[in-house]
Amino acid sequence: MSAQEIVRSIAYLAWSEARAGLTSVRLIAIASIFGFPTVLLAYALGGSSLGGGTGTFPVWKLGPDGALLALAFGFAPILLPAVPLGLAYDVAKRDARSAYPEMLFTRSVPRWSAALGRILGLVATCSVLILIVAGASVAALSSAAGAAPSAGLVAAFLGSTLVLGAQYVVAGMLFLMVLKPSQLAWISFPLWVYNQAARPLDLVIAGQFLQILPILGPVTFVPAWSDLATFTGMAMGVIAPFAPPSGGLVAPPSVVDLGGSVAFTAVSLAGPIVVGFLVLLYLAAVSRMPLGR
Amino acid sequence: MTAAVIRVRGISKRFGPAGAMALDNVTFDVAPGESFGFLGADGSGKTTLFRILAGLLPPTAGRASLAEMDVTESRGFLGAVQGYAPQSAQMPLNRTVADVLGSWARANGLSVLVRRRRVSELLSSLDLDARADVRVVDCTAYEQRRLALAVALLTDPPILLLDEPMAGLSPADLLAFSKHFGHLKDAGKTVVLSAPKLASLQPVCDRILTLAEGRATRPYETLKLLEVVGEARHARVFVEVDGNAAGAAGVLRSVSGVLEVGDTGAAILLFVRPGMFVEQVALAALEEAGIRVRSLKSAEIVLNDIVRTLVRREAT
Repeated sequence: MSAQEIVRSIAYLAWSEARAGLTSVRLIAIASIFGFPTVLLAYALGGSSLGGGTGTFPVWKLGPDGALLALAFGFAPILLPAVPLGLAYDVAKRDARSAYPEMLFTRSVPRWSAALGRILGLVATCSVLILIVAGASVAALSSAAGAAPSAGLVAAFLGSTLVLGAQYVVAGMLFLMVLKPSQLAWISFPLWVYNQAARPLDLVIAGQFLQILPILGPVTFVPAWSDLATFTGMAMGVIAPFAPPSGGLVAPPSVVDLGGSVAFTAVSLAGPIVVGFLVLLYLAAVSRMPLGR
Repeated sequence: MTAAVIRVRGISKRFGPAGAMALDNVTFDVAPGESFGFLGADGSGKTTLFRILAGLLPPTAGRASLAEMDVTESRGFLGAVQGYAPQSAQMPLNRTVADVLGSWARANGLSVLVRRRRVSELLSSLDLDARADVRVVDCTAYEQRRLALAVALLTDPPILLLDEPMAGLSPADLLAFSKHFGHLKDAGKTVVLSAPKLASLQPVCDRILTLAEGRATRPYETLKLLEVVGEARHARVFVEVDGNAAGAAGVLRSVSGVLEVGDTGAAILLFVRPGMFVEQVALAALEEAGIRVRSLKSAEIVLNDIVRTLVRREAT
């Protein structure tokens, strides 16, 4: 098996997986059910930003940038995980019907490469769907606000949603190594709840709750590290460097607050690094683990 | 003696700590170029054995290797030496035969030129070239079986693992299909296939391993198996008595022609040798022991009974 054959196989399997996902009625339905409310919320936030604000709370009163921050930090992490989790469920249902993994992982290419092709295709599928929803949300917000958020913040928002989606979809595929489709549906909910609840709970435990709730001061050392505990926190970390200081959400790097600066940088990089780690874990699991029980 | 290309030693498989044994201490070798069959009824352990050999399932105990590659340690790379056609594989029904074959060729990383040549060769050698543009849903069962075989053959592997490749075929299709297996043998392929009927394996296999409830016999040469099965032919007789079933079983065990005595829960089950077992003798023995017989019925032999008898005979 040559390197060329492996690369060709990975490229084809990624394309094939993406085609199967993007033509799945079930998946499109799930993405629509959770995508439309996201777009509507974005439109509402854009409209309510028109009043203008003097303080830092509520954040959406700070114009289009503030409205996008509210969407990115408040609503997108709640609604968008449905897309990657729905994708993993859709894959599980298709696999159960066709015995596709048995065929795929017994081909002449090494299993890790077949798994890589598959996971790349799934991440691409998830990314396309999330970009459509997130892009439409930005467009709706801009339309309602009468102005677009800053380009850097929009790019960071789209990047964060992609990181969030990739984390969930790879985690879903890892769960499917040991779970049945119906069990995945049940485990998805606690996973989602954990990612929504762990971060604020961690902030409470860290004694920072009162500082954060009214968004009066910068997020510093302890809460920044607490972001590493959840997919949501890590996705927010992607946006942090692009958030306007007036949002009061992040602390800029500072030699005075070295701990806060390290935490700030770590959280910003953590999301993509964790995606890479989860992908490697998936490849190792498919290569080394049996596919049946 | 040529070194075995497939080596299985004491493979056992239990699903869950308290589950039934799907395979119990199965041992056999397959020589290069051999056509080797697994014969057994549904639930006998054939598919479990295939899935272990393909590296999809871990054995609970024992070891197995394909072309010197341990199926557990090298499970990520076994595809390099074997082509596996699972029983449950479902080809996409709305795509054409050539499209499905081309897709799997691309999944195997074949270049455009190699892919076209290989797909063309396989369609031709398996008599599918006239059906290349037909959707899978419109293909006959025999055509779908040949397509599954073509997918397994795409990268020309030395070993083929085919789980019930002849399921659902008519006798005429079976005969035609056996011709293709003959070509594989001529090409030096090692082929392992399974079936629930001896008639399916007989024209194709050099040797056959019989499986019943996870236990296996030693592999028999096909002609020898036919001979042994002939000897092992027996009938089943169900006897219902009033009271003292254990006593009745003891009496029946000593009746001439009775090979085994079992219990179905509702009746005593006898495995008997036709010609030697006489119903009147059994009835007289029970009457003499003071046991009243409610009914005594004979039933047709089934494959599982034959295989079970062979397995038990070897165990003793």
